[in-house]
Amino acid sequence: MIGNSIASALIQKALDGTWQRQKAIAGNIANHETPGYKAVKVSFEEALKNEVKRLNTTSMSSGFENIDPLTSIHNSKIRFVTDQFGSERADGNNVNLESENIEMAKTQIQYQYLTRAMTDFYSRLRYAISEGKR
Amino acid sequence: MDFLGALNISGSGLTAQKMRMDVISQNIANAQVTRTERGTPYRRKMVVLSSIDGNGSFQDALDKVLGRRTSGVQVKSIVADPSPLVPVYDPAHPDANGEGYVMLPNVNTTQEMIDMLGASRAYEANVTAFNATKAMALKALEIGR
Amino acid sequence: MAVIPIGSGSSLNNIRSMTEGLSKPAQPDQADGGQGFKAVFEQLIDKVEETEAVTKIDAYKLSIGETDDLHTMMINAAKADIALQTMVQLRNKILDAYSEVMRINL
Repeated sequence: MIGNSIASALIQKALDGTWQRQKAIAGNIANHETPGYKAVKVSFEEALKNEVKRLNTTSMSSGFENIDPLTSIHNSKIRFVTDQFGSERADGNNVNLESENIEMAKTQIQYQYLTRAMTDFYSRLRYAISEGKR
Repeated sequence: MDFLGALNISGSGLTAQKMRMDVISQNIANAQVTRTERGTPYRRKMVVLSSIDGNGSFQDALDKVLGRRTSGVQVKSIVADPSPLVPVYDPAHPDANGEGYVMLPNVNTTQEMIDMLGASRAYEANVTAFNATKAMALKALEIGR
Repeated sequence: MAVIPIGSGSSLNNIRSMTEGLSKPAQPDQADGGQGFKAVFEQLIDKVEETEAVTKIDAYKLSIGETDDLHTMMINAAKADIALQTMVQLRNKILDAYSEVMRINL
């Protein structure tokens, strides 16, 4: 189906993951004084990378007969991981406000780059469809 | 390097300076403490900073050989200052020893204030670096717009 | 990499076969070293495929978070855009010229 290419599926998954990460960071910052609260991190890049590696090896050996790459990329997991090992303060809270702020800035920028990449794909497609006529 | 690793480097600088600041505040607050929970006078604490060694991955080793590795900073350890405690003659003090001397902490408040200025300036410098990197990344987003 | 296929290959092949038909009667143009319309157009098609492939790899790297080279990615996207626009406009001009020629009453 036009527009459902693997590249756009990857970007979509990354957008999902980045969005969830932003939520987790907001939660961490909101709870940075809560006693006993442990910081939550979101991980999706490793899973996505392994999924693509797996699809590459299977496609090179047997082609795409049994797996639909778009579905398997779509089903790649976004995991919420509680950070048990960060250094704690006296009240058991281990949120480091500096690094949460840094991660938030990075996540925002990453999100903007991903949306820009998606926009570029679709605008090129639209240009080709409209044959360059306005 | 992960996405915009430069931001993490500035971040490590911020964390390290903040910890340094915490230690300086602790020194200043405890400058007159003659009896800590161990019974001895408070000893000035110092922060040891070192650059981050990387996480031992192949990418790290490759970057190191090619001279491409940029590293952040970390607080290696917090150690006690080994310089001698300051004896002050005060026989009326409850913690005075046999000769009437009290051992006060080896904290020089003036020195701590100077360190505090240093830490605060370094923190600001890291924030500036962080903002500059972020601005550059956002500007690059406008290429081709 | 295999999973990021160079998509839209089939539609580009259609355009390629169209240019075969167009440039057959243009024998006199071969005198200038064979750099006729056909060669230019084929180069453009290759450029479009190449730049598209690069943007797909960039998209993969961005999703994985394994990139430090953001400005290069943006430049690659701009190149892909320009390549595509050039090719489409050239194709339109070719079609216009063709229909112009076909309208000549012999």
